[in-house]
Amino acid sequence: MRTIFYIVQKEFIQIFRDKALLTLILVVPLAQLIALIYAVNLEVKNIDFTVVDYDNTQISAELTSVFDASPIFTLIDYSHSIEEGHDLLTHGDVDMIVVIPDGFTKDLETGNSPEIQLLIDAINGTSAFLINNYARYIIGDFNQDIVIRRYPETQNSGAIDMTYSYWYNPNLDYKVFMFPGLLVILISLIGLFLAALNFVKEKEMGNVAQINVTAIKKYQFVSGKLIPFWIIGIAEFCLGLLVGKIMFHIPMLGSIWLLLLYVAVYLICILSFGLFLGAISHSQQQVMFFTFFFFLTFLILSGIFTPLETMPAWVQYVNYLNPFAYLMKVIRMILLKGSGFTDILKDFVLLVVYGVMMFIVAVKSYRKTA
Amino acid sequence: MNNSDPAIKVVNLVKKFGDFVANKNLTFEVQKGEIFGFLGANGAGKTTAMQILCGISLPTSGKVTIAGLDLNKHREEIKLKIGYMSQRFSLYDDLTVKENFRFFGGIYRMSKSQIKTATEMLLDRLDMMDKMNDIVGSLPMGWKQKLAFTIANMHEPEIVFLDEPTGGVDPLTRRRFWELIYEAAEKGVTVFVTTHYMDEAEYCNRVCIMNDGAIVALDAPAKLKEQYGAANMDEVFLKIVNRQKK
Repeated sequence: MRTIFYIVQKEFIQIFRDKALLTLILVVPLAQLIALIYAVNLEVKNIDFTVVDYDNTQISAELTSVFDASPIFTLIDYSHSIEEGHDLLTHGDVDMIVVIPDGFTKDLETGNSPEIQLLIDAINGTSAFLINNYARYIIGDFNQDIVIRRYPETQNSGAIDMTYSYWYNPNLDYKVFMFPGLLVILISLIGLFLAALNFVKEKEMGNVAQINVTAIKKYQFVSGKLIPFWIIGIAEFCLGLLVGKIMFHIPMLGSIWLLLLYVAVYLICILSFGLFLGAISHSQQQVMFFTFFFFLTFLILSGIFTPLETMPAWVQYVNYLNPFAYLMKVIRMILLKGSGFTDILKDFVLLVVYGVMMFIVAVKSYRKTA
Repeated sequence: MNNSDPAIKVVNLVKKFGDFVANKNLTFEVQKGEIFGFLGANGAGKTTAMQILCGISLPTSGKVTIAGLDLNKHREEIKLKIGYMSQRFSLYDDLTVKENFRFFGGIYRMSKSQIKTATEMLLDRLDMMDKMNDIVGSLPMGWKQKLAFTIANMHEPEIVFLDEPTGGVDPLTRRRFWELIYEAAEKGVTVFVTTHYMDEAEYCNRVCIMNDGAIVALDAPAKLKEQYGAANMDEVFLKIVNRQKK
C-alpha cells in the first residue's frame, strides 16, 4: 500500500505542477460541456423555405402565410418557377420548396382533392423526416380550417382527437437528453486519454526503465497510475453535475450517491482500458491513435445520439464490451427516470466484472522486462 | 551467501534479437567490492548485457547469478539488492531534488524517517543542501548525474549498475563523478559500469572489452596495457579492435 501511495503522491505533484495540463483537465472539458450542449441539438428549427405559387389565388397566398407564420418555417423568397426553387435548394439557401400547382383553388372548390408538392433537402434524413411531419401537420390544419369555414355544420365531426404526453422529458428539451451524454464524454476523455498518455510519456522519457529495475509489483504501479486520475475523474464528474443543475436545470431524480458509485466503478474500468493501451504502446503517437479509435467507436455505438433500440442486434451484443454504453444508459436512467439500485443491478454487476477484468488485463500487459 | 562468492556470475549468456546476436556466450565473474568496467564501442552489446543483469531484459539462454541468487528464479528479489542508473538520465525532471529522493526511497520500501535522514545526509555529502527544493530539470547535467548515482545507492544496494553514467559532461565533472564511485566501492558496494570513455577504464579494477557482442579481453587495466604493449587503454582498445577486424 505504501508503495502505491508514493506513486500517487508523485503523480499528483506532477499533474499540479504542469499548469497547462491542469487547465486541460479541469477547464477545457467543462467549457466543452457548456458549449456543446447548445451545439449538439437535433431539434429542427429555423427551416427556410421558398414557395412556387402557380395558382396565385387568395387561398394559395393564405397557405403560404400559414407556413410562414409557424415558428419552425421562415419564408425566404417567392420563386417564379420550379427551376428557380431548385437553384435555391441546390445552393442551400432553402431546405424546402412548396409547390402549389395551377388549379389548386379550383380543385378545392370543386371537391377534387387538390395537391401540393413538397421538395425537401434530405441530406440529413432525420431532419427531413421531421420537416415533412411538421409540414403535413400545418397542411392538415389548414385543410381542416378551410373545410370548417366552408361547411360549418361539420365542425363536430367524429374525428379521433389524440393527446400526447411525453414522459421523463415532458418538454422534449434536447438539453435534458444530451447533458448526461456529454458528461459521459467528459469523464471518458479523462479516463481513456490522460492515464494512457501519462504512462507512455514515462516510457518515452526513460523513467519507466528506472521503475522496472525496482522490485515494485506490477499491480502497484498500475494502481498508482490509476488512482490519481480516478480521483480527478470523480471530481470532474461532480463539477459537471453541478453545472448541469445550476446552469441547465437538468432533472436529477435518482440518487446521486448511487450514480457516483456507478461512475466510480466505470472509471476503474475505463482507466484500466486506457492503461492497457498505454502498456502495449511504445510512443505517444501510437497510444493517441489507439485511444482515438476506441473512443470514437465506443462513443458512436453507445447510443449517445441514437436510441440503442434502433441499432442492429449485433451492436447490442458488441455493447456488452463497450464501457461507454454501460454509463450512457445508466446515467440517463438514474438522472432522468429516477431509477434505483435494483433497476440498474444487471448493468452494475456486469460493469464490476468488466472493470475487474480490465484491471487484470492492464496489469498483465504491463511488462517489466523486454 | 558466502563472503567469497562473486557478486555477479555469468555463464554462457546469449541474447538474440531475431537473427541478430547482441550477446555471444558471455562468461565472467565480478567480485564483491570490485569496480568492474564494461567497455566497447556503441552497439557492442554492453547495454544489452547490463539490462539482462538488472532484470529488465530476458536472456535468450545462459545462467546468471546476482548476489547469490539465480536471475531466472529470483528476479524481483534481486531487484531489491541492486541499484541502477541509466544512460538515459533517469530521475524525474519535473520533480524537485527532495521529491525524487522521497519517491525512489518509497519505492525501495524505506520508511519515512529513513528517507528523511538519508536525503539530508546524502545531500549534505554532495554539498547540495540548498538545492533540495530545486526542480531537477533546472540543474546542470553533472549535478543530475551525481544525484542519480546517489539515489541509485540510497537504499544501500549490494551492487550498482551504471550504464554510461557520465555521457555528455566535461572531464572534470567526470573525475568528480568517479570520486563518488570510489566512495561507494570503499563501503563494499560492487560497481558494474559501462562506458566508452577509455580514460574511465583506467579507474576500474578490472575491465571487460566487448566487440560485436563478444568478450575479447578481460583483465586489470595495467595487465592489459602490458600485454598489448600500450601506453594507455585507448591504445589497448584500438589494438584489440583492429586485430579483430583482420
